[in-house]
Amino acid sequence: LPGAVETLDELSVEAREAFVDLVSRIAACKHLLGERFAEWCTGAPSLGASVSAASMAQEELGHSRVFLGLARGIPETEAGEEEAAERDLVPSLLNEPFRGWLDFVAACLVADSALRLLLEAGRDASYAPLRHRVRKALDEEEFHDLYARGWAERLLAEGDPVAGRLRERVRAWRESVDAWLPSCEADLAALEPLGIRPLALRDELGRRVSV
Amino acid sequence: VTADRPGDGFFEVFARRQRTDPLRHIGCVEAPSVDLARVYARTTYDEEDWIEMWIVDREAMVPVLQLRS
Repeated sequence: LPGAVETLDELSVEAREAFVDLVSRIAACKHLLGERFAEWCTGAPSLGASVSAASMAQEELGHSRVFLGLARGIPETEAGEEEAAERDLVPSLLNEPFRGWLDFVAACLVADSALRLLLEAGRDASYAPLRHRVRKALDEEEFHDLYARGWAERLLAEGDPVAGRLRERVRAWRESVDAWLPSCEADLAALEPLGIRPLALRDELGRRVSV
Repeated sequence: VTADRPGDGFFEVFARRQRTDPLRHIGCVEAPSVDLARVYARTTYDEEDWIEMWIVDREAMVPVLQLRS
């Protein structure tokens, strides 16, 4: 294909560093989100909700492995003085277990949506290994979005105090994710040579997630 | 959790493996909305390689014959 990037060696050092950073962030987030979802496999409010939580956990953990694999073998991965700790690569709230079911729904609504935004930026990437993984992950993520929105609508319809508590948790997750997104925005900006769209992630997330 | 739909919150699930197969009933899910029923059906019945899956709100089903006791 015209403009296709066959190997990451074709990129500048700056772009390769941004690629490794972004892919590592996505992989770390998906790993921890998968673990958090898995903690609710038997604790969701209904059998269907629990089975779906288990399925989403499996998919997030699978995505994590796949994206981590993209960063392997790139010199910049080994060049770092010390590999960044996973907990430093994710929104701070992902490092704690969910406080309850409302927190699960809020995280699914905000953190998972933010990850989908990052994936969407790479949907038409000129580097085929990235593009293929992104498109497959986005197909599966469609159901995560339905799940989050379906549960948010369900809980908001209950009115206060449940709705108020959900809004509070969504605000907390927005704050945590908004503090994390600028690093991703910087990575996206450096990855334009890879056909990745630069996005104002926080603005776009605000448009998609409001309760 | 209680259903916020007027019906009982059950959706029947149908699927087929090949284009030449008829849609067949494979089970049901209980969910408070159509969107959540889609998610639950997809995650509960994804063990086989379906090429197509549908859900039908039990409320939308029209009885033709019912055995009377």
